[in-house]
Amino acid sequence: MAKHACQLNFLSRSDGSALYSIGNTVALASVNGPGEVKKSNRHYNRSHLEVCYSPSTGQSMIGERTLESVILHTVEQVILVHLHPRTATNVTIQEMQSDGLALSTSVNATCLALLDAGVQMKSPFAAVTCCLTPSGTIIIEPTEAELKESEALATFVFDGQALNVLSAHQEGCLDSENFYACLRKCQTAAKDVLNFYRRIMEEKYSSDKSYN
Amino acid sequence: MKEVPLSTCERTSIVSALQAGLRYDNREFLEVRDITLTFGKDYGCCTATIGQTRVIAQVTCEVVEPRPSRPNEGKLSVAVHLSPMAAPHFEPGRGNDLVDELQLILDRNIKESRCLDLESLCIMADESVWHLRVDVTVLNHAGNLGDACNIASVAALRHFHRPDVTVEEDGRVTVHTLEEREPIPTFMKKVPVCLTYAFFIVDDYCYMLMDPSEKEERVMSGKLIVGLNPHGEITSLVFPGRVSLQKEQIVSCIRNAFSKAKSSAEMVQKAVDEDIEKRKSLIKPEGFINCLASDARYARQRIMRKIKTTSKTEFKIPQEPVEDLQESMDEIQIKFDPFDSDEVTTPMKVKQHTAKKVKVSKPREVASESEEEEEEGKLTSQDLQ
Repeated sequence: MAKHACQLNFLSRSDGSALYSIGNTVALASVNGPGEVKKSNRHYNRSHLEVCYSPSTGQSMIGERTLESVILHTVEQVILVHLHPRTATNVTIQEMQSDGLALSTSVNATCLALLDAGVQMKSPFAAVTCCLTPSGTIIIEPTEAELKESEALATFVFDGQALNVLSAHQEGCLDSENFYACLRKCQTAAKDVLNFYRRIMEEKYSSDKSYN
Repeated sequence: MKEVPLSTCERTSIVSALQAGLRYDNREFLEVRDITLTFGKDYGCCTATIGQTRVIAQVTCEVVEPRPSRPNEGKLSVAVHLSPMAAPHFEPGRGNDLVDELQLILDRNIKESRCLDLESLCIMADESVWHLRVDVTVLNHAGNLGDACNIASVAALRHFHRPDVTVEEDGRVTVHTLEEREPIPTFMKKVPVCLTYAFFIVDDYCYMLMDPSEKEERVMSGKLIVGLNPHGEITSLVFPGRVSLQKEQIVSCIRNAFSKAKSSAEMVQKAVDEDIEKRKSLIKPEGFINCLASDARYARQRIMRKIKTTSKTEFKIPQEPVEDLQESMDEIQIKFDPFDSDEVTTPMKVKQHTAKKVKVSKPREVASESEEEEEEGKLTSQDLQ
């Protein structure tokens, strides 16, 4: 597995923010809310969720919209939206450095930013990406160079309680056997990611902060 | 989400602190916050922080056809993006006054100052040239975005290396990847520097601050953003807000800016050169992972530094027992009884005070004034040269 690193409370003006990196991919997520909502987006029974992904260069295009929708559907399942009717929660993600793992890095950054902001959730969630090489081996958290060589790429998002799949995103072709093999491998990797979350949160709330 | 309004209390508190010669973050009037520059994994990616203001700039390049009027010059464009990440009241993809102002500053400072040798970006005249595009994204808005955007984009441009190209005999252009051939650095003749001065008019007296924080920006009467380079050239003067100044005041601002421009430009150059030097060694650049420090950490470091420097003056921690505190709390509650006749008069006084201040600032038409002052600025620039 690639090295994970995270810094919480990264931005002073957001309610919660996290800088998250997997390998050389770095994403910054910030969460604002629950707060004031536009009239057109106001729901009587739940909080309105908005996810905005901005790439480091140029305007956001169809690829970014796909990422946004995957993240939005994941976050919607987890956040207790019914607790905050007639409000909006904004999640903004900025790509800082790209090395192929944009989706899993942004999902993980979003989760930690939500935890940092103290938004009520059913459980945390962790995303893991894997790819299938032409020789049939599965690589967890590949680099961009490895992705170019690979046949298919799959990203799974798991919840923190029973490691159920919250969302799955796939590029390329996978037969059912390979798909389940990928799923199982990602599931075991997700446990490590969730342990990493726990360590980060414990660090945040521990009394002796070892800031250098 | 709407912007949280600044209360009258906060406004008067900032102004009265200035009158006492103090700023909220314990700076001198002409003191700039700490500036850090961090470079990413790729060439031309840079984040700049001024205090808690944080900006990321990314340079990308592509081969395009040149303009027919300038067949042997490359193209350079700068784009500023503000997302809700910078501050909750910004809306994604929609422009506002702040974006327009930043765009104007960057266009004048970087594009129109011709600090970059555009002719060196030519591959084949009339056929193909390089188009450099700088994307500046604001991550955290804590005041003085103009300076931050300028530093980030200048550092990113200086740091950028474009891929090497070969032109075949039949006119085909081959772009080599970074692995195939050593990339070529961009050649920047002059380093543009941008410095912001904020003005507060209180009782016909003008207070001048450098590098205003976000709260100061919301209270100030106006600001002057000077774009210049250490070679003695003024590249831009932007003067928004409702304040009119004497020519001498603007000249003194510009003098002050010139005295600081050299150190600022050298700082940028040094940071870029150090990073490029590091890349020549065998260790691969890691990028942002371990070198970006969060705003919380920055604030903590500032406090720690402050405690170290002022360790002689001991901090007195009140040792009163909790019961006493409770009693004093009760007293406070009695004091703020709305039927108490003494207390009703005090808020009235504050109101009168603020009403006076609004009269002093004399709002006039903003556009005409700024043009006037820019003309004056141009005069002075010639004088100085």
